Amino acid sequence: MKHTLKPLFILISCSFFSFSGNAQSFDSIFDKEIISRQQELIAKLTGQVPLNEITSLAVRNSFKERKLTVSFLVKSLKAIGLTPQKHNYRLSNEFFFLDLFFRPYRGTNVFAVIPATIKTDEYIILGGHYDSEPKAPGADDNASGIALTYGVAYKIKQLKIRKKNIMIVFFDQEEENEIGSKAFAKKIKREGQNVHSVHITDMVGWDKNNDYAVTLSPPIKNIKQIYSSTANRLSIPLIDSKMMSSDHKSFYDLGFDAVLISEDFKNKDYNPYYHTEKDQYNTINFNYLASNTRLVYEVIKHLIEN
Amino acid sequence: MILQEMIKKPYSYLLFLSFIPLIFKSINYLIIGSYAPVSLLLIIGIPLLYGLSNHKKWVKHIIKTWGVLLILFGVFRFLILLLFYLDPINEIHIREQLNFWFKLVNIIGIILGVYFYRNVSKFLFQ
Repeated sequence: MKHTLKPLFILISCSFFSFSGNAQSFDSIFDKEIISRQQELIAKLTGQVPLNEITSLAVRNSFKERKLTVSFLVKSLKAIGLTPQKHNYRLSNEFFFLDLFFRPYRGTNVFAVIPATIKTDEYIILGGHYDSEPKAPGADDNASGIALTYGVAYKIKQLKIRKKNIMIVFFDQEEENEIGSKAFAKKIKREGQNVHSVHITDMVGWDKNNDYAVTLSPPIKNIKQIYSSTANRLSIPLIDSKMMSSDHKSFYDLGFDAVLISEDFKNKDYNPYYHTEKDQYNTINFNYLASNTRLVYEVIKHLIEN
Repeated sequence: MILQEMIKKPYSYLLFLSFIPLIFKSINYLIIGSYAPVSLLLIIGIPLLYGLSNHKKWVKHIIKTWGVLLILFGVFRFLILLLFYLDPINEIHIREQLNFWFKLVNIIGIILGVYFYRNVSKFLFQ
């Protein structure tokens, strides 16, 4: 009993801490239930609260830690009524001669499909990476992206009309040259899937100046239009960037329309603790995460309803 | 035939066994579309097979080359180990392989390499 109550207490304390500093209430931004689910997800992914009575995640970097994360993500997706699948991959080393000396990369992407309500083979891919740097709890990089994707998946599943399939993907090994997403993009290409667009979220929980600004990179014409109009409607400043250092690059390089949604890198309002031990739960701006979740949800909703 | 001659000598089994890890590596990487290990296997294997038909000199050169490659394999991997100790690079995929077995394989590689290089005659001549 003591073990069960302790994590709950920590979670409530953390929630209070992160609620108290923000001017705008969550209710006015997004669904309260989703926000509390996102808080729980980030708390568990960063070791703020244990995964269960015996297991806790501090970082998500080693093969063992990532394997544990995969189990947790699979369970979390099942909890919202999805059927997650594992994409185990092996990929050769970055430089071909290293293949002579070392084993190949190996990892697991987790994905689930929210099927369209009409017959279609068209997909929208939405995802983010779940691994973190060594020693970094990775609350912002990228438990925040996982939480955003999870929140959007939860809401999309409740829609009565979906004219496109939505593929939710949690990528492995982004911190090692986007290996996980490279393997997944190759798989999608090989299978000849009809992909409308790919939306990647990475570092979406830091907003020091509380301006709610979000970066879209690269600004692909058709996709940017939808993001711009939605952001305008929600009074969110949208900033263009050509930044290619995340999982969207893996898809973009293979010819997919792929974009990255992230915090305001252009105006230097990004997490100063990223890739460090201080990238912790209590640095996440949950109002900002909620705002970003709503933006992405509205965009995806628009895309699957039209 | 040189092959028949070699088979009679127990040292030769050590030579043939030393190719097994490379054969496995070649198959593993071939499956995922990488040709580096299989290329090395063919570069060493084809001349060796050719030499075994009746070119003692060829076989001698190949065994020596294989010995040098095994030494380089071990030394290079030890250098990587040193590099990771001096500068903690965040390549967890590589870092996780730098365990006890990694060091043991390096040592075996170097010992075998030196042995093959220095004892070519034992494989071919009485």
